[in-house]
Amino acid sequence: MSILRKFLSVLVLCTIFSVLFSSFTFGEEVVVTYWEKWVGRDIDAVKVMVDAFNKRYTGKIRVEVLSTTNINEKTLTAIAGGNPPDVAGIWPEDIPQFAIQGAVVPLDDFIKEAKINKADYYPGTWSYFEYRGHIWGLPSTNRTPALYYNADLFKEVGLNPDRPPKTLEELDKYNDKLTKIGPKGEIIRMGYVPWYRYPGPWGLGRIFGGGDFDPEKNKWILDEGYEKAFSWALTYAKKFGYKNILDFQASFGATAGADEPFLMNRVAIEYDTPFRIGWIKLYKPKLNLRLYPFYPQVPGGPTNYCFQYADALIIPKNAKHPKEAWEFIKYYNSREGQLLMNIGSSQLPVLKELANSSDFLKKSTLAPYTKVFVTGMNQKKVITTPKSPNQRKFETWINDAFQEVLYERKSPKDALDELRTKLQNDLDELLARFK
Amino acid sequence: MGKRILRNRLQDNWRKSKKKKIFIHKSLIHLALISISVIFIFPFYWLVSTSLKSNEQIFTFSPVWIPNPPQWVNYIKAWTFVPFATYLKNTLIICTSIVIGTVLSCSLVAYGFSRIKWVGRDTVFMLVLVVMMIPFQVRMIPLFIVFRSLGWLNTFLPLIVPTYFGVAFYIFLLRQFFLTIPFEFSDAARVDGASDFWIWSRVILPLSKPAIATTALFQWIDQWQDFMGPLIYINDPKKFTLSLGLQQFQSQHLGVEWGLLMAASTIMVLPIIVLFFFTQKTFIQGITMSGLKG
Amino acid sequence: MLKRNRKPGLKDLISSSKERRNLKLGLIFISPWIIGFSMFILYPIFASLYYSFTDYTMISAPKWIGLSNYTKLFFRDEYFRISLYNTLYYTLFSVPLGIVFSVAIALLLNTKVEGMPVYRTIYFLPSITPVVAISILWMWLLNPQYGLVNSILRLIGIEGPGWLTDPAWAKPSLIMMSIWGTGRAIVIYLAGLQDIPQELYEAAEIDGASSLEKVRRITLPLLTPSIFFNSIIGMIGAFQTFTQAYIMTGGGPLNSTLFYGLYLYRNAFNYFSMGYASALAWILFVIVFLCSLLVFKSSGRWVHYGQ
Repeated sequence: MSILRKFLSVLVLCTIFSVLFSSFTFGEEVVVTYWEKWVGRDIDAVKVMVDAFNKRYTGKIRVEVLSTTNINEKTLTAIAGGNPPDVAGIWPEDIPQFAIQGAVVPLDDFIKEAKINKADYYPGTWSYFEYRGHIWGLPSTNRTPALYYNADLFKEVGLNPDRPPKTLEELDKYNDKLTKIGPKGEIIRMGYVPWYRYPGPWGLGRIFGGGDFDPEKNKWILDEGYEKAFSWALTYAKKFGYKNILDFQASFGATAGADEPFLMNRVAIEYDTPFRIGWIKLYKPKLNLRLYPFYPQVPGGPTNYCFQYADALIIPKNAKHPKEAWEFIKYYNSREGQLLMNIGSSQLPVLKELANSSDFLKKSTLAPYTKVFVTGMNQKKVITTPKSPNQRKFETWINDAFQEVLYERKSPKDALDELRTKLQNDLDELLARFK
Repeated sequence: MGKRILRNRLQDNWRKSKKKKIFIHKSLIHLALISISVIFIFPFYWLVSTSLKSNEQIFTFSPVWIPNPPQWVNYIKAWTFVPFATYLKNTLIICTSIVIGTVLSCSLVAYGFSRIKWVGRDTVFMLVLVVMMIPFQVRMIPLFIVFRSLGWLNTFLPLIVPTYFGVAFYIFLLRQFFLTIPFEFSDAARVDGASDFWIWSRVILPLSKPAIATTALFQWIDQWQDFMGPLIYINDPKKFTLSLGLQQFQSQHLGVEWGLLMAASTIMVLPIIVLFFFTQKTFIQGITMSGLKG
Repeated sequence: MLKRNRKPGLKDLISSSKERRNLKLGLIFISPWIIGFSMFILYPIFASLYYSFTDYTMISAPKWIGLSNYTKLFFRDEYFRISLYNTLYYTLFSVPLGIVFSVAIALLLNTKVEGMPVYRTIYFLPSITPVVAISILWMWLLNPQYGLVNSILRLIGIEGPGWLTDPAWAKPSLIMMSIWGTGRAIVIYLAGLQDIPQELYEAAEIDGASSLEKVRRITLPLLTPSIFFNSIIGMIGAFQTFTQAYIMTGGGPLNSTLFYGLYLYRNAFNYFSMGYASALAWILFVIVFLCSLLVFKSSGRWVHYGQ
C-alpha cells in the first residue's frame, strides 16, 4: 500500500501544482494582461510606458505586458477559448474580421465618455478603427515607411549619396548599379528587392495607381494598376533569376535583429518603417544611413502620398477587466503616454499635434530622421490597407499569386483575375455566414 | 603422400581466399556504415558548432568547421531573450505529471487485460489497438471544445489529465510484458487470499521494472517535445513549454538569428541526449519490446 | 460448474460465479481506460461528425448546414485537393523509403560488425530528438546560400537546389528529413533480425545459398511482420504530419508543403471554421481507414508469420 500512497500523493501534488499555476490572482489590485506582438527592444520601450502607467495607478491597476507572436491567431484562440487578455495589440487589418465575428468590445461609449476627439488623430490612422458604424479599438502607434538607403554603397558604385532614386526608372537604374553578382552567378548584394519588406504586393499595386477593395460594395477590385505592378516586379525576377533572388533572400536574418540584410550591407535600398532606425542604431551605428520620405514615383500613380499603417489596441470580448483595460488604452492614447511610448520605441505618435511638436521631434530616438517620417505622415493623401473581413486571406493569397507570377507560372493578368474571383467568393461566403 | 600435401595446400588457399573475401566483405560494410553514420551524426555537430559562431562565421559561403572564437554568449542571450527558465519549468511539470499518470493508469489497465481472464477481454483489447490508428485531428476539435467548456483551456490540464486514463500504446506494451510473467506467481498469491490490487502493486509492478522504466522513458521523451498539444491548448506565453517557446523564438519577426536559434535548440536537445546516454539499455530493450510483435 | 461431458457454452462461462467475479474485476481494472475512451475518444469522434455538418466559429453557437461543408470540400476547395496531394505524395515516398533504408541499415548492422552499439546509438539519436529542434536545425542545414548541404555540394562542384524555398524540392527535403529520423525502426528491425534462428542460415549455407539469397529467402520473409507493423504506424503518422510543415515552411513555397494536417489546423484555428475543419478531419479518418485496410488486405500476400 505504501507505494500506492506515494504515487497517489505525488499525483495529487502535481495536479494541484498545475491547477495553481494556471490561475493566479493578486489582492485588491486588478491585473490587466496586455499581449503585444513586439519583441526585444521594441517591447522594452512599451514597458517604459507601462511602468509609468503602473506607477500612476499603483494599488489599483497593474498592467502586465506579454510579448506574443502570431498575435491575431493566439488572440482569437484565446477569445474562443474563453480566456483572452484584457488588451490585445493586434494588427488593425484584423479588425473587420474580429468585428463581424463579435470578438471585440466596441469602444464607442468609452470614447464618448472620455471625450476623445477624432480630429486629434491622423485621419488614416483613425480610419482603421471605424467599421460598420462603430469604433472597435484605438491605435497604439503609427507607422509610415520611408526610403532607406546606404550612402556608402551608393558612393562605392559611383552614385551621388545625396540623391535618392525619385522615379521608378531611377530605382531600376540604381539597382542595376548596386547589385553585385558573384563568380558563380550567385547574388551577393542587391540594390533593391521589390518584394522585401514594404510595400509588398498590395502596396506596389497601390503605388502603381491600382484600386484594391471597395468596402461600401464589399468588392475586390485589383485592376490594371496591380497588373502593371506585378509586371514591373517580374522584370526584376527575370533579369536576375527568381531562384537566385530567393536563394539570396533565404540567407536574410530576422527583420528585427543584427543580421537583417540592410544592416548587413546586402541590400542597399529598403522601404521600411521607423522601427528599423532603432535596430540600426543598436547594431550598426556606423551605417551611413540616408532617408527620403517618398517611394520612387511611378508614372500614373499617386503623388505626395503616404502609407499610413498603425498598430491596434482592442479589448477582446469576454475580457475579464474591460474597464481597467480602457483606462490603460486611454493612457496609451494620451499625449503623455504617446510621448513615452514613441520616444523609446522609435515609432510615431498617433496624435497629429504631438508628432509635429518640438517635444517629440527633439526627444525622439529617431533623431536625426524624425522629421522625414513626420513629413510623410503629414501628407494629405493617405493610403491605408483594405478594410475587408477576409483581409488575412487576401494577404496570403495575393502573396501566392505574386509568387506564381514571379515563378512565371501565370501571367500577371491571369493571376490577378483568379485572385479576384477567389477573394470575392470567399468574402461573399464569409458575409453570408455572419449575416 | 603428394596427394595429401596437394589437398592441404588447396584447403589452405581456399581458407585464405575465403578469409580475404570475408575481410573485403566486412570492410565494405564498415565503409557503408561509417559514411552513413557521419551523415547521421554531422547535423548534431553542426547544431552545436553553429550555436557557437558569430554572424560572420555563420553567413559565409564556404563552411567554417570550427567556430573561432566560440561565442558562448549566444547561450546566455538565448536563455534571456526568451524566458527559457519558465518554459523549462512548465515542461518539467507537465512531463512529470504525465509520466506518473501514464505509468499508473496503463499498468492498472494492462493488468486488467492480461492477468485476469474475463469474458470478451481480448475483443475489447482489439479496441485499444484500433484506437492507436485514429488520427488525432479527428478528435482535436471536439476535445478543444470540451476543454473549453470545462474551463481547462490555457492550463496544463488538457495535456495531463487524459493520460491518467490510459494511453493505448503503453497499455499495449505493458500488457505484452505482463503476459510474460508466470501466472503461478499471481495464482499463488490469490490462493493466499491476496486481492488483485495487492497482486498488482506487490507482485506484478516490482517484477515489471524494465517495462515500467521503458514506459516512463518513452512517454517522457514524447511529451518533452510535444508541440501540437501545447500549441492548441496554451495561449499565455507564461505557460509555454520548451517546444512552443522554441518555435516562438524562431517565428519572431519573419526570420531567424541562427546562432541564437541553434543555441536555443541545443538547450532543448541536450537534456534528452544526456538522458539517453544514461538509459541506453532501457531504450533498446523497450523498443525491442514494443516493436516486435505485430 | 462445468459438466465434464459437454463443451462449455457462453452461458456457462458467464453463469459461473468465478467468471462473473473475474468479469467485474477485469472491468474495474480497465475502468480508467473505459472512462477515458468514452470521454476523450468515442465522444469526440462522433461530436466531430456532428460538427462537420455545421458552421461553427466557436464565438457563436453551431449552425446546422447539412452537407454544405462536404460539397465545398469536394467541389470548391482547391486547397483540399492540394493538401491531400501533398500528404499522399509525402506518405507514399517517406514510408517505403524509410522502410527500405532502415531495413538495409539493420541488415548491415546485423553482420556482427565491431562497434555495433556505437553505430546503433548514432542512428538512433535523431529519432528521439525533439521535432521542433530538428525542424529548426534542418531549416538551417538546407539554407540555399549558407546551409551546410549546399556548401558541401558546392565543394564538389554541384549547385544545390533551393530545398525548402523551391516548390519542387520542398517535399523531397521533408522526406529526406524523415529518413534521417528512422532510428527507432532500425533498432526494431535489428532486434527482429537477431531473433532469427541461426540454424536457418546454416541450413541455407549447406544448400549453397549466396548471401543475397539468404537475405531474400530467409531474412526478409521472417522480418515481414515487423515491416508490416511499422508500415502501418508509419503511414498513419505520415498522414498526420503537421509540426515540420508549420515550423519550416508554413505550407509554402507555393503551397507545396501545405499538408492536410496543416490545412485542417488553419481552418480550425486561423479561419475559425470549426465545422469545415471537422469535415476535413472525417475525410482524413476515412482515407486513413481505407489505406490501412488496403495494407491489411495485401498483408496476406507478403507477410509471413511463424515458419
